[in-house]
Amino acid sequence: MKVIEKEAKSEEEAINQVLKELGTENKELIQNIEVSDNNSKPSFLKFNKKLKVKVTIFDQREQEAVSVVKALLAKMNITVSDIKILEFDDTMVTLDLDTDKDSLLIGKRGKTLEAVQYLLNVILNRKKEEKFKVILDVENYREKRVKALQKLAQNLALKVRKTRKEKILEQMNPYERKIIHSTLQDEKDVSTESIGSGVFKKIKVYLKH
Amino acid sequence: MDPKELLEFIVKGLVDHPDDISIKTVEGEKTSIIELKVHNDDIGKVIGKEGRIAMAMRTLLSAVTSKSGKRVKLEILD
Repeated sequence: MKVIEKEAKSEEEAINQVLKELGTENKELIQNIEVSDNNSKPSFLKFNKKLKVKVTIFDQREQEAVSVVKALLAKMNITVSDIKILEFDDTMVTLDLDTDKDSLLIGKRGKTLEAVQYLLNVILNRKKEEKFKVILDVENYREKRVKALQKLAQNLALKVRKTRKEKILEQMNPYERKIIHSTLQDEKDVSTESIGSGVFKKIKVYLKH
Repeated sequence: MDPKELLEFIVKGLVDHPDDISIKTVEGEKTSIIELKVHNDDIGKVIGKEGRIAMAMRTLLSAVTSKSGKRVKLEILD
C-alpha cells in the first residue's frame, strides 16, 4: 500500500494523474481518496485554486487479495461493504472486513473465518514464488479473541492450582495455542503442553513438580 | 445460495486442471452429498496436508447451509 499526494483542480484530475503515474487504468487499485481544500490563498485567487488530493493505492498482491476475498464471500452470500488495511508490509497484509453477515463469517469460535483465511491464502499463493500472507479480521474480532484466550488461560491456571489436577482444553489451531502458551509461560507453578498430532492440537495445563 | 457454486469457485482456485472438475449433488432427506471429482494430479490439492484444505471447504459448506436445516457432506472421489 502507498499514499500519493497530488495537487489538482479536481478530484478526477488527481486520480487520472495518479493512474497515469502508475501506468494503469485499473481504478480498483485505489483504496481511499482524501480531498482537502487549499484555503490559504486569498479569495480573488480562487479561480486558480487547487485541491490537495491524497490517494491511497493498493499494491498488486493486496488488490488481488481484496478481489478474491470479495468474490469468495459473494459465493457465500456475504456482501462486503468496506475493507480497511490494518497492517501491512512486503510479505503480509491484515484486512478488516465490514460485511452484512459478520457472525456467519466468523462462525463458532472463529472457525469459519479461519477456514476462509486459510483457503484464501492457498489460492493466492499458488504458483507464486514469493509467499504473501493475508490475515482477515472482522470488526476487530481477532483482538477480542486474543483477550478472551488470555483470560481463559489465566482462569485455567487458577483452577489447576486450586484442584491440583491437570486441565485439557479443546482443540485449537497453532495461532491460538501460541496465545495460551505465551500467556502462561512465566507462571512459576503451572506449565503448558500441546498434546495430539496434526494441525489442531489440545493444550494440557498442569502443575509443575 | 448454491453450495455447489461456492465449492466450484474454491476448487477452481486450487487446481491445475479447472476444466476437469465435476461436482454432483445427491439429494437425501436430511443430508445432501456433494461429490467432487478432480483431475488425478489435483487430488492432493483439494485434500491438502492432513486433509486441511478439505476440512476448510467442509467448514465453509456447513456454514452456508446451516440455516437450511439440511446437512451437506462433501465427498472427494478418486
